[in-house]
Amino acid sequence: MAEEERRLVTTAQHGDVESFNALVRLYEGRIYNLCYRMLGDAESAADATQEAFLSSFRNLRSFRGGSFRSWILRIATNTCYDILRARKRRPTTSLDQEIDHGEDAPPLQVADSSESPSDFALRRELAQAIEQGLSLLPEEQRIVLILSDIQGLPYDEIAEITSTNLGTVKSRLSRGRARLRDILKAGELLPARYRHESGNV
Amino acid sequence: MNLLQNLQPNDQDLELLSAYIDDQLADGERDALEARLKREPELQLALDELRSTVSLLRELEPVPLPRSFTLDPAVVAPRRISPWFGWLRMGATVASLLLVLTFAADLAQLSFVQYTAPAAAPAPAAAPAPTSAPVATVAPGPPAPAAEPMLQTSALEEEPMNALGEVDASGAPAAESTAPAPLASAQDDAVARSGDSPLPEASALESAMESQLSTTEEMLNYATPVVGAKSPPEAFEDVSSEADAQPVATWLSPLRIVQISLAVLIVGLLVAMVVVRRRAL
Repeated sequence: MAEEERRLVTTAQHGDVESFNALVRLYEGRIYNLCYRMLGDAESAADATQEAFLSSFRNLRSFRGGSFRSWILRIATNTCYDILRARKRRPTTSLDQEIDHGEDAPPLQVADSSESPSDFALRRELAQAIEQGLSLLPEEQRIVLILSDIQGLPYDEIAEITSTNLGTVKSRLSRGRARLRDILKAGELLPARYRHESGNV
Repeated sequence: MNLLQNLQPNDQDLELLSAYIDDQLADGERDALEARLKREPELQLALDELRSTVSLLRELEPVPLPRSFTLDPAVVAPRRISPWFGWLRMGATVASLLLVLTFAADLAQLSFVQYTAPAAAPAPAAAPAPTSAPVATVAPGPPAPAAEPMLQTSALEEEPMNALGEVDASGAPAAESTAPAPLASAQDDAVARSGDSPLPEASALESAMESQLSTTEEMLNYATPVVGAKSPPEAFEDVSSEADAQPVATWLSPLRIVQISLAVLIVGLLVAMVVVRRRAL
């Protein structure tokens, strides 16, 4: 797989768009989800994902080997930062509006046909609670949490993507987790089973 | 709850707990932390809460893609610019360099002329006397036809004469007969002065004219007869013909023609580059 990916990168570097599109198909889910968790809405996430892939294609010659996944995730992360900075410069929408997904929230997939409606509703409530909690985190903690706990990347790759070192990654991760925990607890957003467990301890 | 909040672990402990969850601690650190967890229930509580939070994040389902993000080859394919573009760009660069060189040569020539001119002849502005003699030395060009300067000079003299007439009508009728004397040719002026010329009136008229036209003042001064000197209209024409001829010669110099040609060539090449690039899009 890595060999195939390297071949696709090499041919794409020579201007072969189809090879690059094969890479896009490999990573678009991961990139879009990263952007969605960072930006909080589907439309901005789609724009950021497209922009990240375009930017990657245009700057593909600057890729000097190593992990293509890390390289493209870094571009996507920087694209998200750019959009967040632009939002701060033009604060036309409130934070409440941004985290109020409502009807704009992507539909949750029914993982199991045997799932009861109450379980589905609970799962949806849980997902919204976490998204809301994530949106309240500082950006540098949010990206580390997304990359580590949602995308499951190792510390060293997160350090490469965020252009930091391992110590910074560990520190941001622990603070981000603690802060998210506090947010979930304070807003009673932590699901009942977890609140119950916490209360029992 | 307040008690638990007061017993919250510090940042260092939180970092240890976080790394412990991810199995990122070294053996010694892990053993030490596990020993503390057994002794400190608040630390164990913090660990459980952090684990719950991490579990929630890991259970979060991926968001389905709204569409495909593959790129359209027609939009992002590399542009193929005609090889002509490179030649045009090189030509424009060379022409620009040549243009700069011609300007440099022009400047060098100018500075050489300025350096050598004072030694060859005094500048016209340095001529102090209003007589025609210094003017004649400044203007060594070919002698102008006599008729034309005279006509021009007489035409220029009409205005001062009108001014004289007005002054005379207001308060000095005695000067009426002598008024044309200083404004006529040098010979007429000499004749007028040899007779009973009313000099006080003439000088008054001269001062009135000074206040109206500076060029006329010069002409009046030139009208003073100097034996062997060039007549004032001739001198005036010499200066004007020199002033007219110099720009024409400068503008038609070969260097200027080369500069204009290069500028036109550069503009043409730039336009061609734009056309070639637009066709490539």
